[in-house]
Amino acid sequence: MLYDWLFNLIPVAIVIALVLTVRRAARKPLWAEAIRRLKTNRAALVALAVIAIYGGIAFCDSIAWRDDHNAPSLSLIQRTFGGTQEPTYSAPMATETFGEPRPRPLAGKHWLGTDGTGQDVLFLTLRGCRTAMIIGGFTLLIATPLALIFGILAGYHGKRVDDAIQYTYTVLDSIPNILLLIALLMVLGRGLPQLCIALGITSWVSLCRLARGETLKHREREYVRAARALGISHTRIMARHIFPNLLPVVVISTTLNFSSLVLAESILSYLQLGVPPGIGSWGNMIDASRLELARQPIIWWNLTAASIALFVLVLAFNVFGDALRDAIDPRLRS
Amino acid sequence: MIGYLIRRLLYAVPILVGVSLATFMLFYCVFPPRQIARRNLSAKYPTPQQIDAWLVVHGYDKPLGAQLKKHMTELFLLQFGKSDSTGEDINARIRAGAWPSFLIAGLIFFSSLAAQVFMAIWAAYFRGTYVDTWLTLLCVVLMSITYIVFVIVGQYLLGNILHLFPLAGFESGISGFRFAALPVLLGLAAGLGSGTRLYRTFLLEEVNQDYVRTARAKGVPESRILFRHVLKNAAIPIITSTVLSIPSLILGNIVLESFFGIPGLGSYTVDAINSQDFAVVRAMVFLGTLLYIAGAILTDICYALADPRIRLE
Amino acid sequence: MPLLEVKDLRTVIRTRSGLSRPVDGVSFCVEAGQTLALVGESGCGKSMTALSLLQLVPEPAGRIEGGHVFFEGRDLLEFSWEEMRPLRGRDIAMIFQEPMTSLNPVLTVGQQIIEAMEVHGTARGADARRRAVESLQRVEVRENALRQYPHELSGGMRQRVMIAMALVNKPKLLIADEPTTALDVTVQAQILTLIRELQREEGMGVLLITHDLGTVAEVADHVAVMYAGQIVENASVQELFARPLHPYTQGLFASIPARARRGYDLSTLEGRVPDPIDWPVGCRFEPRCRYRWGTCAHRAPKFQPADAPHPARCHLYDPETDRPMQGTPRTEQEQAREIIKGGIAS
Repeated sequence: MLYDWLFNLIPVAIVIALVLTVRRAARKPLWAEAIRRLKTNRAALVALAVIAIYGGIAFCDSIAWRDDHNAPSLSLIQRTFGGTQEPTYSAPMATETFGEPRPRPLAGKHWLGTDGTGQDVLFLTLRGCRTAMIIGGFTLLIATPLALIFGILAGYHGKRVDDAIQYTYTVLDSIPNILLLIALLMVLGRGLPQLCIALGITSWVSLCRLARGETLKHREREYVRAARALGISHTRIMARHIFPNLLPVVVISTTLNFSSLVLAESILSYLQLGVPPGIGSWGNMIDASRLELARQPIIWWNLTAASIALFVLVLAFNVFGDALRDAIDPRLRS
Repeated sequence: MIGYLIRRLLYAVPILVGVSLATFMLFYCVFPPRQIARRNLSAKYPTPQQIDAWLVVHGYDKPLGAQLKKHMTELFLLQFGKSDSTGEDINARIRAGAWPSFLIAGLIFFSSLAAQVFMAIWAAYFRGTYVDTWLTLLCVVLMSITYIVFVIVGQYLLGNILHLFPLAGFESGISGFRFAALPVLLGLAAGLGSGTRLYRTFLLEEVNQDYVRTARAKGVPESRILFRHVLKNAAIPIITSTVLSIPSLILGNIVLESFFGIPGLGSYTVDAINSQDFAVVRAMVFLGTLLYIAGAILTDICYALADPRIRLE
Repeated sequence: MPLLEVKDLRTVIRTRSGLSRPVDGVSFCVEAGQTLALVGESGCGKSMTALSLLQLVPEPAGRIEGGHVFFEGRDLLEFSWEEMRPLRGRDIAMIFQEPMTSLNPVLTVGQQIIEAMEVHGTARGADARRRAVESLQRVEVRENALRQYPHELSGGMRQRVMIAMALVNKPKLLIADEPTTALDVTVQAQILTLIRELQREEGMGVLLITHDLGTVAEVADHVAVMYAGQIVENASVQELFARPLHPYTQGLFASIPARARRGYDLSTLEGRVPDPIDWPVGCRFEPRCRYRWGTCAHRAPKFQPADAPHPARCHLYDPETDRPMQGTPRTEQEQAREIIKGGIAS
């Protein structure tokens, strides 16, 4: 039982870290100005609210505990929406099962119906939030430090280090993303952490290029030369002078990448390389619906629920990402 | 120009070497060949002799160095060998599957380019008005819908309900176009949002340049400015971005072919994934990389032709 | 009748911080065959005035709010965009400051010059090509420049090409917006001489916008000095150089290094141009003026004397405002300064 609560601390810690970072950033003039501009953009605020709601659902789904030593660990979402298990499909708000020659009555009420295994579709959709957030967040957690370290090293040291790093990422970049993903996932196997690692490996290159470009720009600035003249070590310069100047680009890039990562999961699920069905994701639901549409009469609620949930999150990230980019630096529009 | 081409091709070689090395390390080192053999042999508990025999047939029994050498030469000579799961000749399958794949990819590429540029010009012509705002909004919405949903819903609506297109399958020759129509249409629709938005940005950047002001001061009508001045300049970044669309064409092919039962290279890859066929997957990875690099070189040439300020030497 | 008569032109720009008024009641005339120089520092609204004449104000933020622009008697501000098009590049031509970015980088020089003729139907095909060659010869550029791209030419040649392109349809009025600012000093002189000669040959009117008094001395017949969105002085070039009336103009002349006395500090105009979003109620030059006194900050000076050959926008020359003797500073501090200065001089 204690074990469970230790795990529950992780999402809490993430949320606290996020809030603290934003508050700390708001004190710097660059970010304070960006926040001020964002506040005037209504669409951006709505998008942010949507993202916060999704995040909230993901958070609730991460807090889990056991009632009893032998019982499985159930999250808040499972307890609220888990509901009753039906035998098979049922339409939204229906009272009996769907598509069977002799329909059986349902045990509970299901707003969005049930899927093939009888689980409540609303519950499955909400569970997908956590998966999507983990895919986006964890992947970026892997990819971003990797990209920044290599990018800054390449841009700062130049010559051979730069050549080596450029060669590495050119090789990785020359392999079309989907093929590299397929290869990595075949090797690593299916699973949520494996998926995040594979996505991380394929997505760090673009941020690395950006970081390298920005580092090259800032390396020639006067204050860097002055710091060197004062004898400050390379590492300290990179960490304290160059890295903070990269933050705007990093923030914009990560926000815009989030949505493409979540979309990638849905495609990989179709190719049977995504998240295993036990964990549950929107990609899985959409993949399952392929056969559902072929039935007469069709089963549409599974596909609709997952597609809309995915669409709204991706749209929110796209809108917010654009607004963030305009707020931080209107010149970066291209 | 010829010198530039030769240099680019020479630069491509170390990249390809790196790619084949990476695939080798990925496949051969992470997975012991005995495990691959066990997976691919149909018997439930294969005997060690059966495993050894399979290893010999597929060349996995030799030491690592020799395997690496064989791997590299095979890839570079485009002799991809035999499939791990079916034992058939990979090269033959590639040759058979090339036509449908390139048909679909080519049609999507050119129709996408035309449609996106067309819509971007409309947005640029009506910039600032409600036409532009709604168009941009539509693009953002289209961008946010996942590819799979486009394909599933598209096939359902246009194939099942409206019976406009055949649902699946393919025929060789000219009649293949009939089967390619729906996949191409869906691939076009899926990429429309992001491409139009990008090209619109390029066009609007040019519209604010000084030479447009000069053209207006000369009395040039707006439509001519858009097509002759703005578009010609925007063609440069547009061409540069087309190379980035090659990976998404490959992705599109993979999804569309397996969905519509089209016997191309994409569905071949998907089958290989499902049967854990590493020999085919590494061949596809190499081939895909080759295509991407070739596309990049081609794009650079087009870029040099379009921009008189660039002279490739 | 003057070729171009601008009356009380007002152009506004909507910005995030408010409504900016870079052109706030500008009036001047350009006669056929003569050059009017519009002088002022950066940001005083000269370029925006020029763009307003051809209705090229950047939209949707910018808008011409009022006034009249009479070209050969017709008010251009009543013309729609389509009605203006036949005038642009044919009756009125404009050349800009930065020849590199003002020419289309992906079209050849020949294509761009011939385009000027094609869109107005003045010539086509081989005839157009011939006229393009002639036009280049007049600006002393070789014929094979026709096939070259702008980036293959030097800065001076590009500006010559711009002039050739502007003059190919023999316009009646040429608006030149700081044509030599981006060029080397030696090339500047060549371009100015060229403009002067072509003007004499064609008999066209020239509106030359510049911030450089040296250019004015070279080419202009008349000068209009612009400050803070308004014309503050207007005179023939000889009059202006001999007797600058407005304190701003005097300041401009005084700050030219050649005129400063050896061994003494260069005199400068202290202070800054006020914000075009928030023009002050009184005289806009008042904070920087050495002659300012009480009324100046409260009441805007009129452009006086109105029909005289040399009007100035200053209370000093307004017969109706009460003021002390012309040219004497009023406040004690300024009196003290005068005494000290007189002391050094003697």
